[in-house]
Amino acid sequence: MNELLQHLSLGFSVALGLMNLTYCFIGVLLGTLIGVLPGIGPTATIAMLLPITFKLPAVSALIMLAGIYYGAQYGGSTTAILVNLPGEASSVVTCLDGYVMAREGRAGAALAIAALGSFFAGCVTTIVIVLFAPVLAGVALQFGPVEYFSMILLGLIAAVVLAHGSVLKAVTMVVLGLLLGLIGTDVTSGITRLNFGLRALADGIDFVVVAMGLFGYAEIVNSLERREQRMVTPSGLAKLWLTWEDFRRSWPAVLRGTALGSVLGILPGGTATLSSFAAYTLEKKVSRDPSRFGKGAIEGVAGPESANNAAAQMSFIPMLTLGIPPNSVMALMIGAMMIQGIAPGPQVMTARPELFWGMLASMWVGNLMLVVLNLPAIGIWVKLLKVPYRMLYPSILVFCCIGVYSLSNNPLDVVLIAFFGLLGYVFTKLDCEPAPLLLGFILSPMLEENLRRAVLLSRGDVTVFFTHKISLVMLVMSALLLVVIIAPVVRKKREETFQEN
Amino acid sequence: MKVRIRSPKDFYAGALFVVFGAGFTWQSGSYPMGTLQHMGPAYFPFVLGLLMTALGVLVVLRGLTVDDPSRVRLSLRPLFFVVAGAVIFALTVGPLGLVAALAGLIFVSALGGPEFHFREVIILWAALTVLALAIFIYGLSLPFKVWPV
Repeated sequence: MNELLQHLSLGFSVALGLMNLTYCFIGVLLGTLIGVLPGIGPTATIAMLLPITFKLPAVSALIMLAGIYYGAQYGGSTTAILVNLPGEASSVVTCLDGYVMAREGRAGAALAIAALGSFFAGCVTTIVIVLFAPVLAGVALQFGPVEYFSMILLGLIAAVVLAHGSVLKAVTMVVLGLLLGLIGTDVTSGITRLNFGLRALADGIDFVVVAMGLFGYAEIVNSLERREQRMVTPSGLAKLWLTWEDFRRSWPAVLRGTALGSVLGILPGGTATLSSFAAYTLEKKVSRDPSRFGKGAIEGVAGPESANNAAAQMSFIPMLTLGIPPNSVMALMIGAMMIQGIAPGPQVMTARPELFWGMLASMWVGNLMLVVLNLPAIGIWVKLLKVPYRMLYPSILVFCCIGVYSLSNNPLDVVLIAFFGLLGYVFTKLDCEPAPLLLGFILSPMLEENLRRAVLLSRGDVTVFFTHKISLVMLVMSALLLVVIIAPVVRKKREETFQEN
Repeated sequence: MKVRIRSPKDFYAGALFVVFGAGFTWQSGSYPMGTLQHMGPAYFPFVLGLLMTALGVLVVLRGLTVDDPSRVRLSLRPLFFVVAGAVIFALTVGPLGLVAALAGLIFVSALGGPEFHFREVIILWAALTVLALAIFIYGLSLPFKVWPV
């Protein structure tokens, strides 16, 4: 306990330093700013802003990126409520009741509960992470290459299972990601491989390029296709507070949403989107009068908004303790750590305690900033929505291109984002989700290295993966997940969860 | 039984997967394979390439058997201009510098939008150039060439 307090005070002393406080604020602000804009999700936002953090010290860079992440989440719900446009996928369900509330003149209440619910969920999950991350990291320190291989495999399979759409296609996208991740120099032999004769690919493809192309570029073409939607001027912003009745209805929903989001968020592949959909379904189930949903029920905003924030924050656990990203945003955080020269994994907590605890403390600080500074600024964010998309997307492209070019002053990187944008767009048109590809791409070198080391140490005996107990458990879990998802009953249920409306 | 594409989305996705899978398998053929105990650089990608090709074939087969009539419709106009914008940026940023490259990127990509207003794009270019110079050149002092000369 005493040790825990020491860690926490170290964390807060880092997070509350003037410089980090400033970067946290800039992150939250930029995240909200871009999260408000429809068509750019948190992954694209982080990919786009990543190059700005390269020059910062590691702690500040990660604090700022985490801030961008919460900000983007929060900005997404603001537009969902005010103009019925979800800024990102996890706030799609917020539209259902939030926008109805706004039309009834209760936009203030909806925005307030979204912010407060998220803040509550953020506080709870920060405590959970502080309590459990060291335990998990301690276990992970005992892991050898065998366990790591099986764990990464489990992570990849879980990501497939929890993605929407066809499982077969998602598995293939992971494999494609794994292959793309192997392009470049093979660390063990020093041989340049899989570069298809192109010298530009000799050093491999930067993950920023892949992420920006697949998410940023492809999303722009998708949005252009949908043409410009007329923006509705929101009303009823005057009262920014909850009535007693609102409060009475929403606090149990906030509790349920937080619990659900925490459980789903720690699972690999358990995205904020899935949690918000699940929370909405849950609220509808436990409500005495389910017919109120879709007609401005405040629980329909409170539950999902708490759940998506809880899940977003819990997904930091596998990233921080195991070095394994459970979703594409965490994959980008891993990439950012590597650029800063930090090898992700359980040793980060002991080797760089100021980084680990500083980042945890900054989560709480960042959430507080969202409530205190952002809630009053909603009017400004809404004005942003009046900027027409025809002026917005060239601006996004400018940041993508300069950002990627700044990685190594190599113009071919810019051509590559266009290529991945093209690929991402075509894949989304063919109902293949790009997120599993990015996850495979990031984890590929780790997966291969651990596989090679494991078989080398066992003298070519592949049964080690089944004789090591922890590894066996993880492989059995992977197999179960695959069996379960192929079972017709579960498949139907999964489709229902994603198609809730 | 006549073979016919029943689900275009599956069929084309599968075909694309097969092309990628076969390409990677073929590429890994040119590196040392090694043994199971001492895996060479080709071992893992070769296995993955075969796996991907096989999965791609399965997706193609599903495209021929499962009915899903929804068509694949690509919007080529925005796609072309957005991609072309980046390519022009890449070609010009080295020899001509940032200001000129941004002009190319912004004007070409703006052509892909639903409306194109010349004056608006000029203003956008001026504003974004000033912003980019402020952030990347003066703020982060990145070693970019700015002007053509």
